[in-house]
Amino acid sequence: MQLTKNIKYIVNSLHDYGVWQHEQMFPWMDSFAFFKQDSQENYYTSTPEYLDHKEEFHNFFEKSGQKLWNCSPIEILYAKQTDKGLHVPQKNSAIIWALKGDIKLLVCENRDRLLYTMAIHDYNLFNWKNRKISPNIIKEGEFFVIGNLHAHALHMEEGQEVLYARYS
Amino acid sequence: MQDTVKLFIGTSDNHDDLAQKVYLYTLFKNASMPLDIVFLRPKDFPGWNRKTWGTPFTCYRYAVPHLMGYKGKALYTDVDMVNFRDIAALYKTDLEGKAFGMVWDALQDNGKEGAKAGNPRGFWCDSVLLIDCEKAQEFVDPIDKVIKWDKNYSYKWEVMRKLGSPHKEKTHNLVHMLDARWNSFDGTNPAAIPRGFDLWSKENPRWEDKEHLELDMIWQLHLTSLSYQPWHPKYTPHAKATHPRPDLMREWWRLAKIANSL
Repeated sequence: MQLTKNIKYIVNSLHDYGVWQHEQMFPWMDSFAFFKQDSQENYYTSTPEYLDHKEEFHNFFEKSGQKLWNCSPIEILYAKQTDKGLHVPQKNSAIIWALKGDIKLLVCENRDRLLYTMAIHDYNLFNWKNRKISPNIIKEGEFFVIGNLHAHALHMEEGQEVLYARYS
Repeated sequence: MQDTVKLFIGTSDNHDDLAQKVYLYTLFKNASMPLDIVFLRPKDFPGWNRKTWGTPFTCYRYAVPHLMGYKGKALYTDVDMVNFRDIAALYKTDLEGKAFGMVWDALQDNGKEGAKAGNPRGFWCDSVLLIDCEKAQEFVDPIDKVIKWDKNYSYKWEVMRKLGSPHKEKTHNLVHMLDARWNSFDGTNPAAIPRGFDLWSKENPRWEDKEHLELDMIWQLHLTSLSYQPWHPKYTPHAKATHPRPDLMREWWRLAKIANSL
């Protein structure tokens, strides 16, 4: 499930435009929606790089979802951390690619626990075991698959970037 | 005749930066006269009551006559535009003694008052607004009143009411009709009633029933539907939607890349 050359090209082309949107999962981050499933009409971005490789782009995420959970993507988002952004803890199936930086990912059965720990001032001193939270790192260039039995939250540092495909 | 186009552009503080670059690039590319451009942004207008506005800059256009000292001619446009034809040609339009030049919006919803008056839809659209600043004084209140406007509707509707909304015939000596190609709403002709559309309908017409303009027929493209705007400004509460004109989107992104590289 490594990103293909053309998907990297589509995502990297965003930097040529430098235009960032708001996404409710990533408040105050610089984000960009490529695709969002909608009960009335799906949303597709309109960048030429995406339109030129639209089929390949969607086939990649479709195949990944079918293989893992037998389902299609609900949204495909890019997010780059700013000086004040957040990732709102989620309890859904997702594949997360670390595009830039080694990215902290906290996993816990209980989503509320992740909501209570959105600000961690010293990751070394934090008592993970006591709080039943598992800290992970997604190395730059790698990806992380998570199902919906556990909740997860990205703790990103300024300048770090992810591609986030949500499946449930 | 003034030898500079005095253009005011309503925009947000920093959420429309790329749209602004695209618009400026196209304006300067096509202009035959020097452009004197003033951006109207919230940070430059502290204290304005903006509670009924649809965008961060909705009613700043009504500060233009004041900013011009109620003299001369000025052009106002929103930022979400792409210019394809010399803006000086628009600026030089003879207003024939009228206060404003605007494009007719056949689908403008005139509300309950309009329906009661037998004109449910159709009035002037102020997103491209050519102004005789002296004559406009009669229809635009002193700036202090505009700043403090606290009714439950935008000040825009007050100006439209003074102009005679919803009665087009009352505006004949007040508003000069601009060619609709100067304000093409998302690639359509705003002055045309969509095929088979009942103006009394509360529903919006189907996209495919609207009159569409080919790209080379558009003089000024207005990306007016917030949910369709390709850059999706962070302030819009509307859901993202795919613009139904991929040809216009390709052109916008192409221009964005050029404008960003300058």
